[in-house]
Amino acid sequence: MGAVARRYCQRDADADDVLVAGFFRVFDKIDTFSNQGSFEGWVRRIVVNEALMLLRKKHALRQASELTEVDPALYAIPAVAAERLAEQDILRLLDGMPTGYRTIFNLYVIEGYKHREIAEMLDISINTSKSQLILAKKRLRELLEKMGYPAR
Amino acid sequence: MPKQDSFDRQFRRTARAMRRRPAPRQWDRIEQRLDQHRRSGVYGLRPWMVAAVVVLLAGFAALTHFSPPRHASVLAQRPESVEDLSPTGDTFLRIPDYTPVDEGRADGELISRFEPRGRLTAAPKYRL
Repeated sequence: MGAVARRYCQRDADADDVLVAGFFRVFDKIDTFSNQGSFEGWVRRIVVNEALMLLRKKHALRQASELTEVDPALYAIPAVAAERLAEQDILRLLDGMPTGYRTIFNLYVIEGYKHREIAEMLDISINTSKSQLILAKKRLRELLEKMGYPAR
Repeated sequence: MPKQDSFDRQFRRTARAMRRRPAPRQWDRIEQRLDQHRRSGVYGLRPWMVAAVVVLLAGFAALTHFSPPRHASVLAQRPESVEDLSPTGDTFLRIPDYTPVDEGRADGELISRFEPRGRLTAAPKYRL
């Protein structure tokens, strides 16, 4: 869960705060956990929520632009780039993105939320969520190229 | 789960495999926070509860202090003094004694003590 918190927060201290707040909530609300889903998934959701709360508190999710008529295929990244991707480079890539891009990339690509769910969680429109993901991938491709990965 | 391309899938797999062990200090912080939480909940009293009670008491005090008295109407008040109604003697005006009106004459003509005879006429609808 430390890595989950760190993926959302650029600073280690913020990630630690998220982890502490998340585990405090886990222990406090453990009696509300129903055995229907996995325990790890439940804890992960709590940690992600705490991370989003921290970002909201810091007003890091305020500015979000919306794109019109952009072909996502233009920013597609070949899978071979990810196959060779080292773990430490993942954090470097995520840290290289603005908070809005990184948050939506995390929620969509890594956590597996849908754009509708992300829009509800972040109180933005579905189009904004889609736009931010496209922009995140565009930035990711640029960063991968800089780091010497085959990004085109 | 949204439809992901192969890059996304691979990125997700690698990112989810990442591990970051928290420092022991973080566990101490969690423990400390849980202890504080437990202590604050011993009597079931939370700061917001105390604040709510203070606000309620202040509101009640303000209401009782600034509201007008319940029997503000003049009629509802107790008399502060009783007026003396006994006659003073000299300025007493006596009402004249009642004297009945004369029943009139036998032919039914009305006689008034104050009006001249010519002005006393029956209303048109009662005239024969």
